[in-house]
Amino acid sequence: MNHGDARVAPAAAGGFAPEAVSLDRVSVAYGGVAALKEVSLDVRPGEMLALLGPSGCGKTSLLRTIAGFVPHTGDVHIGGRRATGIPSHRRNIGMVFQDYALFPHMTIAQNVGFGLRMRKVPRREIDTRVEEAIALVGLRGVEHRLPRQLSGGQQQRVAVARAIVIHPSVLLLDEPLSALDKKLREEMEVELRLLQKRVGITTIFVTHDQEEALAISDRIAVMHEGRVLQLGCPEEIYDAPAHPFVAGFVGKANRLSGTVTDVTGDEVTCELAAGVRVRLATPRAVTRGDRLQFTVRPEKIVLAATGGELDNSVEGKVRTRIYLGMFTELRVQIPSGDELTVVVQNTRPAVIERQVAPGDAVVLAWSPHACRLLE
Amino acid sequence: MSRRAAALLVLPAIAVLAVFVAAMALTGLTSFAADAGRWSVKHYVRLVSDSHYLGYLWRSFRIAAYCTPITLLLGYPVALVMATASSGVRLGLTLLLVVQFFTSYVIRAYALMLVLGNNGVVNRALLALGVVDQPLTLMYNEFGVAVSLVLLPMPFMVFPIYSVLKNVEPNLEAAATSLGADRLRVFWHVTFPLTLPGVVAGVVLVFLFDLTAYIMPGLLGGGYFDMVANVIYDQAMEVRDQSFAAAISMVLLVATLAVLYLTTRWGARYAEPPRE
Amino acid sequence: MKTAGWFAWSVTAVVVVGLVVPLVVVVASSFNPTNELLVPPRGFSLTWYGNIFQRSVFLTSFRFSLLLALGATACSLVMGLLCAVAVVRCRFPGRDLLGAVLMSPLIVPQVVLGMSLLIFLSTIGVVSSLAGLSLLHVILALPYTARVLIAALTRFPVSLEDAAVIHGAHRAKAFTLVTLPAIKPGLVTAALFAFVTSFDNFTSSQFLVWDRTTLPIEIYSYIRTENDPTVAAISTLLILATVAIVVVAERLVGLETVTG
Repeated sequence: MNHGDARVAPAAAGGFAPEAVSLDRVSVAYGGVAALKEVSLDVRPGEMLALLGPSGCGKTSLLRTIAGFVPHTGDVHIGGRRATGIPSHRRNIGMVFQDYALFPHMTIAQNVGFGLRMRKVPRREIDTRVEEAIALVGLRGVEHRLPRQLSGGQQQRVAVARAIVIHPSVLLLDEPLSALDKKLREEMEVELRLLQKRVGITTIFVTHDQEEALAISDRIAVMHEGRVLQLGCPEEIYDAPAHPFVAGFVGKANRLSGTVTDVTGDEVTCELAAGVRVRLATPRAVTRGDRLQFTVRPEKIVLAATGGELDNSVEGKVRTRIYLGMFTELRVQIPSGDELTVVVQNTRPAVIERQVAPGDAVVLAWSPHACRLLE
Repeated sequence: MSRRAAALLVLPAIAVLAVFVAAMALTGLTSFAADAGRWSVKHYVRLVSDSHYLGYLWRSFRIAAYCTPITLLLGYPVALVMATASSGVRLGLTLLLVVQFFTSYVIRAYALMLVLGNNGVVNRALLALGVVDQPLTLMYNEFGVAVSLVLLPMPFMVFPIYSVLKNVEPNLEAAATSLGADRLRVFWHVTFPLTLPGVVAGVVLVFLFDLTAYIMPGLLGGGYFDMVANVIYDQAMEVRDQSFAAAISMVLLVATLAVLYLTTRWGARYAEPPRE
Repeated sequence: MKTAGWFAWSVTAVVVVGLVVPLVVVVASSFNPTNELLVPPRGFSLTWYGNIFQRSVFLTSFRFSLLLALGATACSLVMGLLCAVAVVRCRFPGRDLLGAVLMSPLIVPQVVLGMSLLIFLSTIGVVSSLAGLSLLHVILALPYTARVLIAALTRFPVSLEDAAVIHGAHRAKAFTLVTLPAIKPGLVTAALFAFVTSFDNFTSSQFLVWDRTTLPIEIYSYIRTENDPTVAAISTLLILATVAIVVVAERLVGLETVTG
């Protein structure tokens, strides 16, 4: 089938072109406990936005607020229209639930067609659109089965088909892949991303899995304790965390702090405890004597023997070593007392190359540009 | 544990149940007994050819057939409120229904007599308000029996529905809402179909309760509106025609089993089909 | 998400009125000073409560019903527990059949059950006896105790009992020290069901009573013959007892085991 259909059809039928979502100082409280604190957020048309955060950070509350399931203060706009006060069933939203919430008493075709029946779409059109949607998620042939007769991955596709067949203004995904095992989840991530691009639908999805968020979203909103701490593309979130929490939650990060001893151009020298000196590139102006907090990602540090010419080099002693197949993770203590996590690619088989062992003295090296200053 | 241990454990219950099974079998035999130790189907012939007795059977079915849906219509919303309201309301309703459940039918039927009688609260209220000038006949007739058959088995309807309803996954209803269903359609397309197993269980219990009712027609019918169970008792204990009473009993028993069989088969559609 | 609308609440209100008003009327009527069953009562009197104690039939039948119910409860509880252990813990041929047969007395109409037992007992020459009536009540109570205890024992993880055995307890001792206390809610509920089933039974019992009758049978015939507020007084006492038992049961084990 022509996958373009799903995107073209609504516009041609004078239906709803996918438009953005906008939240203005939205707060939600459950029995006096604040779940969202004055969150403002603009979602661009056609983008895939991840709401990333630990459990209890308010990401699901935010999603359910957009869906209209949660009483809140502040304003929600969907597709340029004010949605506050509009009941859920008239918001034209597609939602995929964590447990899929497929109706167990309906066949796959009936599940997918449910939203269209509620919209009183003519039967013939329902049949065509259901068939298209099922084909779109690659599930042809299961139309007349019941949800419990499908595997977890298949159920997930049905849930997606059911949500997009109504041509929603926005697609909301609540931890859509968390119930799948790791391998299947990675496959579905790619598939979901391709599908979203193909259909071009504005998508907001909730996840606590930072790898998943990095892998499939256009932008990520990192949430913590009811607030959005940082909103940006995956590279920004990973390479330029604006907040200590973001740095710690997305990927692993070595946090260091010291005092500025020298400033030359856009590079500064920072002295840690015990006289350990680190040079870092800083985008903002600092002066001598400032206390700085910064992070270095483990994969950006190399063992000096293999590292070539990098400006920072620090001696250290290996404390622990964890072999992980594709790479080896080392914890190295440097003279300042900080313990740095270092990831070493296993480019050569362990039988050929003797690996570093706990107790070994090593030299760590990294570029000044690998250091990220925290606000 | 070994088979011998199992056999010893179940022995006392088996002994009791054996008496039960033997008694039922003996009743079956008795229904075919003619004079002088011969067998015959004459009691069944008499039952189906006598419109008087057939009438009682028909009446029992007819009343059960319209009282059960009324109990369902009244009981389902109660279960819904119990499943969704605050824990205080839930506890209150549960206590009320459990007290009803554990109170003797004789007492509950008697209580209804005090409400529906000529001097009962309903008639006295109507008279005082000037709605009527003489008491309405609300019992010792079909109406009184029907009221009791609607109200008394209420726990049998509410509990099975409630126990299914409280386990309905809330996300299913949220999903239906997000797909554009208003509250009524969420209920009709999602909640209600999912609670059908509870509804079927409740309907079967109440239908059989109504069909075989003895105390309610006995007290609120006051002898003027007997049902089939009363006829069986009269035939066995007053007329002392045990064979005929046994024949009516067998018909009632077969009807009960038929209701159970049909609903179980119908209900199997909602049971878990094998995973492919 | 689920919320009951105004319709459900209105129907519930109607049902509550329909279930509560008759009980209130009974209680109110019992305090009538005259022979009339009037609500609200004209005045206040305990005459009819006194009458209960003057009519020895009520006292003797109450005592008889109580003993009968206690006996039936004890027997059906033990039998039900043994069956539950066998059904839940053992694999033996006919296990599913046993489960079905255990429930079958519930299916048979009460009037048919009572008459069948009468036919059976008179055939083997046992009539007008305590044995027959007790047997009936055990048959009536056994399905409830078996069902509740099978459910309770199924939920109880046998590994706990195994742990006690590993720590040196004999299997029977482990069962009484570990398993029985753990399924206490089930035992209480089962006992409650059995007691009430026996104590309240009227329809099948009326086939098997002789000059000794049970309380429900005395009340029933009193309503159909004399019908003064004495019955209202007895009913009030029994309703209060039921409320007390239910409240205690709620505190003790919760009512979830009753409502399912």
